[in-house]
Amino acid sequence: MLNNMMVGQFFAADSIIHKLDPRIKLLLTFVYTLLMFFIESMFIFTFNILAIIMVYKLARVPLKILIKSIKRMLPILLISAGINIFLIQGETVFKFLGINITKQGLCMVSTMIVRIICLISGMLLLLYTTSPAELVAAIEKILKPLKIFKVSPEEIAIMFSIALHFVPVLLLEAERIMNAQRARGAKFDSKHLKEKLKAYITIVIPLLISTSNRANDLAIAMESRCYHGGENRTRFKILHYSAYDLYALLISLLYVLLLLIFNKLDFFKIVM
Amino acid sequence: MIQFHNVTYTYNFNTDTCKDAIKNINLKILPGEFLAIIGQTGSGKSTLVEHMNGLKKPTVGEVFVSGQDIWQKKFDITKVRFKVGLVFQYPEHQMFEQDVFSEIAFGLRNNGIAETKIESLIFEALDFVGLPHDILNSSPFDFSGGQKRKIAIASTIAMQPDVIILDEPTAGLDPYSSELLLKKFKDYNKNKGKTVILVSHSMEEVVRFADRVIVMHNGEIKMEGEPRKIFTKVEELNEMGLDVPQILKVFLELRKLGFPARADIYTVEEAKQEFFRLKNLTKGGKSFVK
Repeated sequence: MLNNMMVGQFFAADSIIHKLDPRIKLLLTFVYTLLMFFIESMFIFTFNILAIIMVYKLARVPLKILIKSIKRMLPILLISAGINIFLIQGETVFKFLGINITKQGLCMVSTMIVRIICLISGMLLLLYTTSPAELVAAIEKILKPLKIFKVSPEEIAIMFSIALHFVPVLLLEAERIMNAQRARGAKFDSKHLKEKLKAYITIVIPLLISTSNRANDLAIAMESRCYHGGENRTRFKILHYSAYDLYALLISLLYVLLLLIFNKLDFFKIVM
Repeated sequence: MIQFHNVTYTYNFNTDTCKDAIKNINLKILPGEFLAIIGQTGSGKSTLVEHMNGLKKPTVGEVFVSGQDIWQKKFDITKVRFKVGLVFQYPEHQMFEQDVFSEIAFGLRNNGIAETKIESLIFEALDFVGLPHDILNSSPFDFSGGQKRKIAIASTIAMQPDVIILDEPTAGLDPYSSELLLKKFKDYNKNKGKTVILVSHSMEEVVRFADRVIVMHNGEIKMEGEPRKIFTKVEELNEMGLDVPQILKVFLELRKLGFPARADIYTVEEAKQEFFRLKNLTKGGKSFVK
């Protein structure tokens, strides 16, 4: 049951996108995220969605997984859309429960939803096509300049990778504790909110205790193997740029320019 | 008491990674029996016992508890959980309350038992696991691993279930406590006529305490019967990654060396007598060693 909570888990496949250098992917995702905030036209968003679908095809990640993840975010999307739609002033289109629904409101909310979907799909693509180990290596490289401020990128990276590594472990543990409490009659499916919350506390406390114990054990294990990040520590996988990374950069650059120009021109802007 | 009818459970049903944890299980557990379940790690023992109190819903087949199909619509599954108590592996990891009293009372309160009755049930449970009564106000986290285990077991025992399932209750306990605990469960079984189901890796425990044993392998029940009969099939057990009691192995080796030893020695007491018998046989200066 708790397995369903996993969103954005690495999807192993043999594709060009998977082979790209994680640093490039991280950078491109960052640029893409920024780009999405500059775009206002519905038409360009539609175009962007088509482009995303193409990249997913290229990455051999089934769209089914993406749609499932987006579906899970739907409640959050709808709540924020619901709030916005009542708050924006302008030309009234129709009335709902005595509140004016405006043309501007509808327009803004629809762009917002599409924008968030575009953002989610982009970030998920990074997670689907990059293994946690690669991601951590990339973050470590990117954070290198922080050394000037006496921040150790290695330590940040190791914390990050430990956190990622323990997500499935903790999920399993949570499920085990949940079953144990259920066996003692805990009411997780209760219809009373109070009872339900009470039941969940019986998972949270044991989980916190076991997590801190685990962290302690892990620290001792690392220490006894003389772990230290940074200086003289070599990597199992060394990152290399390839020709594909260059192509990916160029294509993306073109794409960004194209979208920005279209957006500026206002040429295709369709006002709803 | 508990009946399995063609039960199959598939993990990740309807996905590419689906896998049958247990396959086509038909099983009848009688009231008042002491049943042991043995099998290699990953053979489906835990999945099997999680079906017995409705923690897992079979993908195919039905589970009956006291003749009631527990997954029938409108049937309140929580009733089964109070009737069939399940003590998980390392039950001390499930503790969360501020004091031992509330910890043990958790199940009882969930069951809606009156506060006035709870106290006496808790005392009874403490006596069962052999803990003193004055610990009730201390935090359950202040105790040693073994004591925590006893507190956790007491919290299930306090509910006085008709069936109690123990998933490796003695793992990580010292031999003395293990022995004591299992004897208590045998008493619970004998004197109160309750059903006890023990999942164990210790063949010694199985042969000493169980009336019947089930051997699981790759999600199926491969053998079933009295422990003493099951352990005569040494080779078959070895093929499934299982062993026979250590003492039996000694006598099997002795037989290989040519001694006319019995091949059904399971306990220290039996071993002692057999050694005396062999000693008397060799008194005439006869040597059995080839």
